[in-house]
Amino acid sequence: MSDVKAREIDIIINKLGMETRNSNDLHAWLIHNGVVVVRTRRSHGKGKYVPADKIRCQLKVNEEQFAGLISCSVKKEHYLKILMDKGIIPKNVPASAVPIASRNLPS
Amino acid sequence: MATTIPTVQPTTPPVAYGEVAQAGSGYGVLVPPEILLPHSMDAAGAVEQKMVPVSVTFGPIESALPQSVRFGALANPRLRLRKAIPLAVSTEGSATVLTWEEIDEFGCGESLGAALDNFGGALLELYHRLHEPVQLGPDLEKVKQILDKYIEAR
Repeated sequence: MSDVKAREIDIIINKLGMETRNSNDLHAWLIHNGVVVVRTRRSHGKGKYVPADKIRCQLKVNEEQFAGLISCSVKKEHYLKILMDKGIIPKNVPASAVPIASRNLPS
Repeated sequence: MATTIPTVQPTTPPVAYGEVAQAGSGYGVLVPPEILLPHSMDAAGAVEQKMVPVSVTFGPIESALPQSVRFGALANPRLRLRKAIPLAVSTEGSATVLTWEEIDEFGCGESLGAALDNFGGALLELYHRLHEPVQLGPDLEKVKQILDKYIEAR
């Protein structure tokens, strides 16, 4: 797993639609139904070491699931289910906990 | 004229001493250990030295890195650490990796100093993000509670 490239972490970030913020590193946050549930980050710069195992732990997946996230065999819906099964995503988020901007309000 | 040779009384068996660049066999000088010490430099030149074959085997180079460090320097004057953060130190190839296992946070870099800087930057970003007015999932809520045990606003 140590030969994972930054580009492959970007694949995961893009696939999951994570919110990103650039500072010293690229920080990424998964927001589901208005709730921030998971975070990770990677360093900027070509050739920089990518601590894949640490990133995998932050994403709360095992090695097989992590490889699936990179190779696209694990889709976003599957990943969300993994997080729900682990209790990382609450199964029943009350509507009051969801910010107004994230709700599907009738126009 | 006779030359007086100082007598060196070895306290341990003589050792073979030589400078070698790589593991293998070569030639070194058989000398008592005392002449390697600074106080007996005068005797060093006078002791009879004998070339002997030596075989040198290098073991794995012991890392100078500690197995753990305690992080205690936040680069933000508005925040202060209540207590030092315990970090596990490991290496991956040429990279040094620091891990705060309690919250799955890490820092990495080409040296211990670079890894500490990386960890410190990530810690500040994490602290600020988790203290924004956002709804957090149970895992990140727990991370926030742990952070608050270590970091406080001034």
